[in-house]
Amino acid sequence: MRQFSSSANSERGYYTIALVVVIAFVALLASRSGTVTTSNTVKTTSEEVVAAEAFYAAEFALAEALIWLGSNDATATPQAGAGVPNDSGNNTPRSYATSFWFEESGDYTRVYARATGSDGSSATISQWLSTGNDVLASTALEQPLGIAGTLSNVTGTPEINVIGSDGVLLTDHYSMRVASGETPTSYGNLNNSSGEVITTGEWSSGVTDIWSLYFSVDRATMESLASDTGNIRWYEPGEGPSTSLGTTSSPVILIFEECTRITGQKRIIGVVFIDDNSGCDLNGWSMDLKGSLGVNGDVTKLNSNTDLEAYYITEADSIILTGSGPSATGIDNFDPEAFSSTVVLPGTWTDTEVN
Amino acid sequence: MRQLGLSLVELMVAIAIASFIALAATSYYAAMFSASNAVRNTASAQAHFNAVANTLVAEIRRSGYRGSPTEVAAYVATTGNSSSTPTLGSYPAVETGTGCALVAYARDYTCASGDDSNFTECAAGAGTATSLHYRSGLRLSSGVIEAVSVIHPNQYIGSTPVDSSCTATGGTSGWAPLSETTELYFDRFTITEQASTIYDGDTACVLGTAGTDCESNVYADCGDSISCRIKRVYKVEVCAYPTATDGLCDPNYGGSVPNGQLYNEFFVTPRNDVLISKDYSS
Repeated sequence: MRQFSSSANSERGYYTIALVVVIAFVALLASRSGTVTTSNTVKTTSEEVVAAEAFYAAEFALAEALIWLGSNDATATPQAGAGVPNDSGNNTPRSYATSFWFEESGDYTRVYARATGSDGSSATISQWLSTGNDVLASTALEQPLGIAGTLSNVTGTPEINVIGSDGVLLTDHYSMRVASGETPTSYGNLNNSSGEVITTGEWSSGVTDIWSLYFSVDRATMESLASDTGNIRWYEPGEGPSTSLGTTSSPVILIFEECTRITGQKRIIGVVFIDDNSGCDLNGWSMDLKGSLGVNGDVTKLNSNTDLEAYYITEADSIILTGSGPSATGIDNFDPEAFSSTVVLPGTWTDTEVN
Repeated sequence: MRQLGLSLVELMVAIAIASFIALAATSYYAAMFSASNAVRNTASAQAHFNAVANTLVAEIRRSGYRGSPTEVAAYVATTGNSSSTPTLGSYPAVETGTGCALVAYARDYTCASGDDSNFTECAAGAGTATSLHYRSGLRLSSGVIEAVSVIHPNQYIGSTPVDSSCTATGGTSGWAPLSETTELYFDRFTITEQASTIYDGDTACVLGTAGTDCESNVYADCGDSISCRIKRVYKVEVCAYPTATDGLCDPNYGGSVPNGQLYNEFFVTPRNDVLISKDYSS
């Protein structure tokens, strides 16, 4: 049996062990270095994905804010949104808590939306909104019928009644306003059924365009605020609503570029404005309007077929109905401040000017 | 019995075994380092590639931001006038060129000393809090993706100190490399307008039909409804690979696809619609 009796042999063994340890350590360092570098690179990639993901979660929060505004008044109260769930089938092991809050400035509201991930990532975006009530001028509802020109060819027994909320006819408010010096050529048998006195006022001298008396924003802005499904709608020539629109809690603003005939006894609750300076032939119209009708030109052929009846329900609310005689029963007043359209103002989305 | 040492046979066997183990270990470590390097290089290339895509997506997404509602109204007013074709204004949201994309959006700015001679917004002097339009962009130059982010040249009263155009070269160029060909060679970078939907355009015009567009159509035949909102979708194509040779990109990943090719084709929509207008009274 071989024996290691000499100390020199034992010392050579120690050298071998030490050498092996050094080599192993160097190999470990090299391996560790490569692993860390790779890990960091992968981590950087992952963080970029997370950052992008946080932004999309913030978009979700913004959509939530818009939905929330659709059923609530815009206030500066922060609101906690629903979290974006971590779907069990999702490869992303993150969930996001969303929140949104508002900053009111003049006629506009700025919505901030934030998403904070379970891993600490976050993104904040903001978007300016214009609420529908801000686009309506205070004079829009002072008269049931506003005409930039004059009224002519009244035949039959049409009605423009101004009736208070208690059903009593009001005589101290204008039934209509016409251009200065443009007295209607004839009232015919207007309000013959109800017997209400027609009180006609005039716009200020020199007013030939009554747009600004109905709306506080210009046409371009109004058109940009309009949408196919919102509370502000803009109709090209020949276009018009296919269904009744508006409710007392959510009235509408309908802008017609031309005097497109509204037929089918559609109920419109809100403001209808016919922006046609060539005038408007109301013959054959069949509309049930609670609110106010503005025509940016002359109105002709207001006759019994047109059958407009106007009901002035409160100081600020008016109603025009088809049919004969007062029939406002069952229709609630609408609050002109209830134009709850929260329309996104184009050109105001950002993720840079927020904290 | 005395032990005098190892015999020659024993020593040779020991050396052979040690050599075999050393060789195996060396091969193992070499393979491990090679695999590690491959993973690292792929991850690094992917990170560079994603950085380009993510940067572009973020910039396009925020393009067209004009600031507060008041600033939006002022900007829209400048896009149209009573006598000429509406334009996209001084700061078009997205401009595209061959291998180049430029976007513009407003950012908060605090005027510095001397800025009153640069920007009308700083006429009140240093410290004025205002909003200026910035221009950002990416372009492809000899396999390298370059980036720029400066105050928009049209914002300056006089000449701009930095050239941020797609063709900028030389000392005044504001472009800086975002990638390195030693890491990744970008062979392809294209951005094209894929779709354009016009809202609120006057149907009396021919908006939306072939050959015309809202911003280029003269409103002479449009009556008096003269604003529109344009939602656009851009298609972006990026292709890169480690080999510094031009023209190897194979989007279909066919037989000639270069080793390590990274290819992505994506669509992005600015969050801000383009707004243009023209005076109603004209």
